[in-house]
Formats: sequence, structure tokens, C-alpha cells
Amino acid sequence: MMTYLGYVFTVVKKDLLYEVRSKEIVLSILVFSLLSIVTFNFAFDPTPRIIALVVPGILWVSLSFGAILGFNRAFSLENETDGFAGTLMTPITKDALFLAKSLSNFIFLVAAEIFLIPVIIAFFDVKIDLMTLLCISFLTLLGLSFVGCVFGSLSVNTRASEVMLPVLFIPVIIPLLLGATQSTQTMLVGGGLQESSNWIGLMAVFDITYLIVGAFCFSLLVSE
Amino acid sequence: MVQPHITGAVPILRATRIVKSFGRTRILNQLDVSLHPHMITVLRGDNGSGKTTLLSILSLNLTPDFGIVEMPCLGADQNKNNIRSRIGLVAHSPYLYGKLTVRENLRYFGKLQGVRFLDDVIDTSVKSLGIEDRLNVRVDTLSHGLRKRVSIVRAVLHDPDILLLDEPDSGLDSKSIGMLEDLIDGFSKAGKSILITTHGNLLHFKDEPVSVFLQQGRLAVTS
Repeated sequence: MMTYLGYVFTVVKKDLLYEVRSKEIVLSILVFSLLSIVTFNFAFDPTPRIIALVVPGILWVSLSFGAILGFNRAFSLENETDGFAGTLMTPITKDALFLAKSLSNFIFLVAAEIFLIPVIIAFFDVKIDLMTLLCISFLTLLGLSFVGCVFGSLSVNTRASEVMLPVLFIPVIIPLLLGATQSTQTMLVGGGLQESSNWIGLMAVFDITYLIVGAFCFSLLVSE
Repeated sequence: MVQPHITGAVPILRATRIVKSFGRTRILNQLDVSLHPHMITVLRGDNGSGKTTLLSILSLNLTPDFGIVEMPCLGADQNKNNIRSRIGLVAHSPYLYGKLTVRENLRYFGKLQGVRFLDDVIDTSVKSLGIEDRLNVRVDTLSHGLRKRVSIVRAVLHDPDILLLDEPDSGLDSKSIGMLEDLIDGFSKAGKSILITTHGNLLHFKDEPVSVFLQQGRLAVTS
């Protein structure tokens, strides 16, 4: 019998291989997030005084909206190909499948962010502490993936999934966005993780909560 | 109405008093079915009579409104994943990933099914259905018939005790049907049970199959 992590690894590997072939999910996230950042760049006058205030919001809002497209695409692809139904016929547990799909989406978001950060630096001329940003990004993208995985699987079977996913997703991620923007803002004005420990703690609690609640809800949603 | 039970023998899979409705339409009505070793069951019925619904319930892809599906050989441990790992299902949809090659698909599903010596098993299985030269071809470039053959290989990779085939002859040429018949005969000889839904008379087996008809939500043995 396969181990729990063996199941997770197998599904993640398949998702990555599929994405390498199709390039649909990362491209969806990246193109939309890039367009948002470019639009924000024109909408705001990026004076040094307001950069630290608006850049965190621009980064995380753009990435979150891009992520919605990515989640939608990820689950639509699974439905279109029917491979997901085939996966559900195997002995993989639903919570292992949830973890695997969340990890795959997390990797897609990380890939998109790797391209977005240099763009943010180039457009807004901000100084970034890489280690601090890594920690903030890890918690934020993980949380987005857990929530996106639950609502992606829920909305994909509804008639207006493109509308349903943002309607469900955005209100839920507000605490996460708040934590991400506040801690990124602290980083941009020269602070470290210590100064934004409360926000980091909030994001960590959010992630743990949605890992547990998400796995439970996902199991119910995909059971038929 | 007569139910296809063979009394006295222990079935591999047993479904008892299955009821399933869609809206106000009752598709399956207090249906009992037992699948025994060495038994090939051919299930016929009109369009919309509930053949695919029954297969979905037996493969645990659909929960009935009432009734249970169990494997007596598992005793008290009637874990759904345990039962699933002993069932192979070929449905209308191939349940494959189009952008992956045949080998990548089979490796993926084989790994999830916990198949040991997977590459050897894949090589042997694809030969039995004549698709060994398509292993490195992407599934979305294959014809309907070839996808069906890959789907059959996917379903038998883990050597299931029960093989459920939903109109497996659709889209297959006469050569492929011959290979499928050999595969099913081999499964039956090995003590497994096979349930096939079909409309036609294209499939012929060495052992006489039990022929059942699904009508008004119940099964009737016709031969």
C-alpha cells in the first residue's frame, strides 16, 4: 500500500507535469496579476511617500485576483479531462487529495510570484528583504491555496463558476490579505518579522484553520 | 421479480436493497445484486433504465438513497477505499488526462492503486489490448477506440476482483473486441467477477454469461 505522502507526491507530480504541458494555470495567474500591477502603476502616482502604503496592497490584491483565475482553471481542467473522476476511483483519501491539490496550486502561485516580484521592484523601486518576503509569501500563498482548493472544487460544478469562485473566495481571504499587506508594509519601511509578529501569527492561524476545515469540506464536496 | 442471486455461494460483491432516484424518478427500486467468482454477468436494459447508475453505485462513485454495497470477503472492514481498490471500472468517459501520454496516465493511476512492479504490469497489460506502440503518445491525440482500450488497461492494472464495464464494445473494432473477450475470459478464469452493460451482441465468451435485464428499477435473470 502507498503511504499518505506517496499519494500526495504522485498527484502533485502529475499536476506539475500537466502544467508543464498545458501552461494554462501559471499563465492565467501571471498574465492577470501583471496586468493588474501595470494598471495600478498608471492609476497611482508612485511617489516615495506613498509607495510603502500602496505597493503591498498592489502585490497581494493582484496575486489574489490572479489566483482566482488559476484555481478556476485548475479545477475546470480536471473536470474537462475527467481525470479527476478517475483519481477519485482510486483508494486515495480525500484529505490527501486536498493536500496534493493545495500544494500544486501553491507551487503555481510561487512560480507566478517569482516573475511578479522583479516587476514590482522595477515599477515601484522598492527595497525588499528577501527572507522576510519569503516568510510572508509562504504563509499567504499557502492560505490562498487551501481556500482556493475548497472553493474551486465547489464552484467548478456550478453554472457560473467564474462568478461563484470570487464571490466565495474574496470575503474569506480578507484576514489573510490584511496580514500579508500589513507585514509587507512593515518590511518596506525597514522592519522585520519581529515587528509584524502579530500579523504573521494571524496568517499562521489562518493557514492551520483552513488546512483542517478545508480538508474536511473538500472531502464532502468531492465525495460524489 | 427474480433477483440474480446464487444462493449458497459467497459473492465477491453484494449490493442489497439499492434505491436511487433522480428528482421524482426512481431509477433503481429495492434492487439486489451479487457478483460471484468466475461469473460474467451481462446487464441489458433500455436507455435510461439505470444501467450506468447501477455501475456507478457498485463502483462506489455514487451513493444510493438507500441500500448497501459490501464485499463479504472484507468482513467488518468495509472501508470504501478498500472496496474501491478491488474494483476496476470502465465507464463511458475514459477517465484519463488528455495532455499526458498513455504511459504517464497508466503510471499515475497504477501508482495511486498501489500496483507493484508497475512498469512490467503496464507493458504486459498494454500488449493484451494491442496498444504497446502507443505508450508514448498523448491521450488527446488518440481515437475514441484507442482511448477506450487505454481506459480498459487503466481499469485492470491493479488486478481487481471485480471488473465493471459500461458498454465496453462501443467504438471498438472487431480485433479489439476479440482482445477484450480474451481479457474478460482470462479474468473470469482467474476467479474474478465481471459485470458488463451492453446493447448489442458483439461480445462472445468461452463461459456462458449470466444475462440479466434491468427494467423498472429491478433485475430479471433472462438466462
